[in-house]
Amino acid sequence: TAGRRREHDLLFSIIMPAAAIRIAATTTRKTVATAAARSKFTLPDLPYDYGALEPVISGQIMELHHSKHHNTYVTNLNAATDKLASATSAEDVTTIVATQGAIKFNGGGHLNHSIFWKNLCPPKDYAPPDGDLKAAIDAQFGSLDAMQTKLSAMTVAVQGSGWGWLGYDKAAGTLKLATCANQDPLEATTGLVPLFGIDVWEHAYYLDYKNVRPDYVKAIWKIANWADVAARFQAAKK
Amino acid sequence: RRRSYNHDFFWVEMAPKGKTGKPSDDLAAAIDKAFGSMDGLKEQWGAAAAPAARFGSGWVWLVVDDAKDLKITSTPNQDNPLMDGAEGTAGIPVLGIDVWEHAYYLKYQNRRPEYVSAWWDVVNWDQVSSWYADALEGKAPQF
Repeated sequence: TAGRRREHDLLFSIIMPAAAIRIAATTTRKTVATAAARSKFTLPDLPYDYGALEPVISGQIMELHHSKHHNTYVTNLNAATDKLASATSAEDVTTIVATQGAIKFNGGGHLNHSIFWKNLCPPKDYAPPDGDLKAAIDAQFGSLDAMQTKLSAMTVAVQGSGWGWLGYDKAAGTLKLATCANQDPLEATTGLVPLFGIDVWEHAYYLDYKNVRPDYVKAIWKIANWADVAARFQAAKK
Repeated sequence: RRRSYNHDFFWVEMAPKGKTGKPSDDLAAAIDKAFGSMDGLKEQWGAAAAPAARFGSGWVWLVVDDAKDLKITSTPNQDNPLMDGAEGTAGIPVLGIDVWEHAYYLKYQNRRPEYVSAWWDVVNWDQVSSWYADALEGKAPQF
């Protein structure tokens, strides 16, 4: 639609120069405003096939999780941000405020899952952390195993839906562990930069593990993509 | 207010299809007064149970409030409307649906609205009617 508007403006400016310049200017401002209002978030592709994380997470879960759950967050985030943009233009503060919940929930869902897909890798590609990341983990927690045990316990203990996180505290210059409820995004909620997340919404594991969340959380370490975590760590330290 | 209250409530308020009875005259009249009709209740219930309305895990309830009116409310995680400081409308629950993913995921996956619609087939209206009568006298379901 934005493209068509631009074509329309061009045609007008050839046929009706003087008037067209005024019309084109107004339409262009509206087009730019509309383009900004209609910014589209999109579902990222997975870096691997749906079945690639088996036997830790089944292809069935991955397909539902990505194509249904994450996709819905993206769709609803677009709807909520469009609604916010319209309400902002109209200076409708009631609607601006009323939209915040949907933006936090769906925006958080989109952020969290976009990180999650990259945080994971096929079991055959697993390699433990090394270099700076390993040094930081050992310094902060004693060992990789100690960190995993602690984060697993915190994550299993999340009441209801939520996420466990290995994060980076920029101010303190250290790694930190945290949990968040629902789709609350780590950085916006706590200030920590997300490095590795564990989704413990039941949709993330129920079909494979039923209610045995501890087994899922224990198993997920086998598919942790430490290279991705290291890259985020390097970026966060800048 | 034990953690298991919600699930004690849930098992007892349901019954196999065909053994669900029907709402008492009093309950039917109260539903019509509050929601226009049974369909009105189901529509508002569906809206309250939608993922966009109850983010994350939780329950949707039909309560008898302080004014003895029927209201739909929802609570997060394992809270219920009898708890001090619970979200939403306080009151005595007479109907409730679990919308934690574990309640429906094996059969409905992400399709929560389908589960919520289908669930009406297993509501034990005889039990709900009995709880409603008790609620009018200020008594909550006990387990």
